Amino acid sequence: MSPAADAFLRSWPLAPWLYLGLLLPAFVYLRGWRALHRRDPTTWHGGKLAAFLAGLAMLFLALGSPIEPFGSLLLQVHMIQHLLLMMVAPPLLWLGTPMLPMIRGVPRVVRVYWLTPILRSHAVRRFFSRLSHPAPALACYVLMTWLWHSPGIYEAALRSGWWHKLQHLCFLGSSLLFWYPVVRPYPSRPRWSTWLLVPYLLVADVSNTVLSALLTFSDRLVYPYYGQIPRIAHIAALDDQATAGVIMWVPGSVAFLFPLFGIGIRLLFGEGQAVRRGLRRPNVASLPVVIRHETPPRFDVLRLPVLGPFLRWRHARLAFQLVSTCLAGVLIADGLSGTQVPALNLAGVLPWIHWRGFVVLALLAAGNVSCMACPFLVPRTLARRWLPARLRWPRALRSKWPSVILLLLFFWSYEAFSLWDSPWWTACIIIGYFVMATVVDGLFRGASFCKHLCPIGQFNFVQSVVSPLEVKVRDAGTCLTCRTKDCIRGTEAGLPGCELGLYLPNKAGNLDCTFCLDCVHACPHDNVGVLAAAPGRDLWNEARHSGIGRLADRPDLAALILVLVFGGFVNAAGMVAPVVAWQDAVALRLGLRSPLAVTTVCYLLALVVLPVLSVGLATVLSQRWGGGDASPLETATRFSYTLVPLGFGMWLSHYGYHLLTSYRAALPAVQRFAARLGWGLLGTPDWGDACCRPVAPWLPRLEIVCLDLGLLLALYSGYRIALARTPHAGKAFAPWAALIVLLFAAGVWIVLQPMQMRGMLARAG
Amino acid sequence: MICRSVRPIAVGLGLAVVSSAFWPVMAWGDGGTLRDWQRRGSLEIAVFTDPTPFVAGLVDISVLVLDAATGEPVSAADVMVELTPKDQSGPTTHHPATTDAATNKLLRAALFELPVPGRYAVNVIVARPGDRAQLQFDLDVARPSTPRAGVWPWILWPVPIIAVYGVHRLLVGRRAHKEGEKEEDLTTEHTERKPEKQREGNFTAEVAENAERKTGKREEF
Repeated sequence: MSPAADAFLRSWPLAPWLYLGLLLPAFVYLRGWRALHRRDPTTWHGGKLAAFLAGLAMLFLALGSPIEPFGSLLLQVHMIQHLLLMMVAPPLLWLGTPMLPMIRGVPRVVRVYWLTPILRSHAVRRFFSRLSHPAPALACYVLMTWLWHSPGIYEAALRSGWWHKLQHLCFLGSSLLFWYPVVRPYPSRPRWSTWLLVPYLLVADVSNTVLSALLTFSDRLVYPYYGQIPRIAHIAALDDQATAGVIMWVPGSVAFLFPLFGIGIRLLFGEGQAVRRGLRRPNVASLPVVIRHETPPRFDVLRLPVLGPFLRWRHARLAFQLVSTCLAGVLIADGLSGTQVPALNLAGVLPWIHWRGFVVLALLAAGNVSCMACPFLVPRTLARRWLPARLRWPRALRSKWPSVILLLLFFWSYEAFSLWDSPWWTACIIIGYFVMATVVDGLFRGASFCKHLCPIGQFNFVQSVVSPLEVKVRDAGTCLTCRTKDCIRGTEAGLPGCELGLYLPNKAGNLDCTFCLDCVHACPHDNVGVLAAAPGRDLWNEARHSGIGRLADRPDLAALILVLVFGGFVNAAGMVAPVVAWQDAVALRLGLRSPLAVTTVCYLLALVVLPVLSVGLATVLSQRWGGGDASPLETATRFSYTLVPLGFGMWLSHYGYHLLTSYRAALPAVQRFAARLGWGLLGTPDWGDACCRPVAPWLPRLEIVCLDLGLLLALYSGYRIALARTPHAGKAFAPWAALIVLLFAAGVWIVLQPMQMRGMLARAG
Repeated sequence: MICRSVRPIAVGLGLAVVSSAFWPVMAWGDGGTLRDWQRRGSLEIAVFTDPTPFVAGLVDISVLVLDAATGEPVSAADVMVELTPKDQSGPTTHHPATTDAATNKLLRAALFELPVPGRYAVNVIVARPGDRAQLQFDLDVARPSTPRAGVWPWILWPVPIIAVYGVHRLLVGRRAHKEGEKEEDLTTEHTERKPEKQREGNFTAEVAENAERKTGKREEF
């Protein structure tokens, strides 16, 4: 094999977006085809599946194989690529009759709620009906072919990646349009005569022939680019051009004339036979595009093979907690007695870089895992053997207001006293948590500390609204017949019920749920699972929540949410260079030596004044524009929940940034601590890992995507809330949408600024 | 059943979709702009650079080495790319170019971070057993004029989604409006038919009266 051929066979580009772009439709088609095939195997035979998958395979061959990188060096390879895109893949895709399988293949919610209104729209159907008429389809195809083969534009596509992609997109789009009238996949019902396809294909063939003849017989280079690059295997540029012309001419003509022949035969000898055999059109009655069937059982983590039995084990949570308690003990030990350089100390690295990152990732991927493995409850549980725990939590404090104040204090002190910079303070905070949890829960019933005080718990409760899992009853009917209510009362055998007072049959969402799984263990009917849930669904749930009540009646919860949302932005903004420089400038101008006062004022403004003003303004405008009979407080409370996803997006991008840029810092800190204990097994620390690393170009994109997803969910949930509250949902929601977009813009600005690598060593040079 | 069987695939695909944008670019070198193409002894050496225009940041310098006699790519050769700032503001940096880093295996790519803009002297050294060739040229590295331009697609992709949702709500609203009108028509029809129902009611009363007359006691209908 020649070296060039060998290089060709090894040149497979890595194109993740292409793989996904092909795998996703293949998966959706396969899912839909299987459902249709089960009902009507004659119509939905394997040939259709094979044709569709072959069409996708041709697209892969054109764009994801060595043809792609070699196309810029040899015109003939480039021509093969265009041939695959324009004449092979599109008819194969249409032969798979993709419309019904694709519609059937998407989840039912998407199909019924999203697709059906669009597909049933007369305007949409009329538009596609007109667009797929042979006249515009042919015009579009010929125009695109000639336009993109004109020297100037073709050269631009060769020299620019974006133009090249646009060229391929135009080719594929116009070809799909061109081949649609030829194949006429169901449910296409053309009103024009099939005879029209004869001139249709002939004109296309003539156009193709003229263009390819120009390339074949030209005695000069039509595309000078190919004359300016090295010639592989000494293939002359003119010969390459002529070969490309022949490729375009011969297989191209075959592609047009073959269907023309078939259509001609069918027209001359009648298509009635096919119709009589019932093969031409599927039986409409057997097309289950919208099938009403029972909702499939929700995904349940407790039904998983290994993880499920483990989580159902009574001591599973204790196992997690013991591990985290040991870890907390190590952090306290190193924080109090180890070096006070944060990047070298476990208490300076693990809580502020790793633990926070893993908490938000766990919230995104699963749920409130952090509370589940909370270390502070282990000494509390032990202490309850001796402490009374009989008092009732004071009625005046049975709200989220205490935790709002504690959170405000924490955010302020984090910035004002640079808590991340002091392993000693970090260790003290951990000790404080242990003491508070033990004392409060040792004196008061239930989990008063978790429910009313713990700032970390409140963070987890609020953010877990966007988590994909929730603790929920599997079958509501079983609870109707249950008389013991062990899930909240606890069992006679001593298994506790829900300490946070959430009655499972009425529990909605993850608010106030610590994922302790006590209800799972207590339920005598094995009717509680950790089920999949649509992220954010609870935000627009107007029902009464057990243990919480109606969301609109909880201004304290709304205040907590506002502190957490604005706190996310302020916490991240406090680390970016322009904000730090601005704070320094203000301190200088005011003659303040210590930045404490500036920080205090900034936090007061950003976490109290700004949320109150912005939410107040949005409330006034929302009520004025949207009407409704709710009080301003209720409106402000209810709509504040919409900000949760955006706030979570900010926390996720911020903490994810630190985790991804500094994850290696744990290793030298662990090695140092082990060496301190006399364990040399872990090796010598490489302090280079404790230095800040350059930010990879994809990281800002990742952060922006987090914010994008938060924005979309925030807008959607806000609109759903508005829909449920007023007939003028759009107007009522507009001010809140503006607030959400403003916060999003602020978040994007923050992530695009240079961010301090707090707690890390500066890299030399 | 199908849902169960495809759910893991769906979850996998979903995760892949979410994570795909951040997959590391394993082989990126793919040519770009041809900077220089010279014959040096028995070799033809061509150098491509990417991005276009060539700006500071992550860059790709790809080298194509051909046998001048046959035009076939030379596989047994080591290629090194050296960059020296023309204003002597920094040291010379050396970057090996390899086929592993290139998408197109005809090329050898050197992918590296070039943080400082300015004019550089580029020296490409191709060494193979018993032969060594060099290609030198100057390269202007521009300051990235719009460093944030690349993030706009990432910021703006929710816009079409919001637009599609807007259209969707519009269509749903129209349909609901039409169905509301239909319901209104039905209500009118129902009202218009009321006399028939009244007649039906009268008929029922007549039957009841007849039955009462015949049996002597009132029957409930």
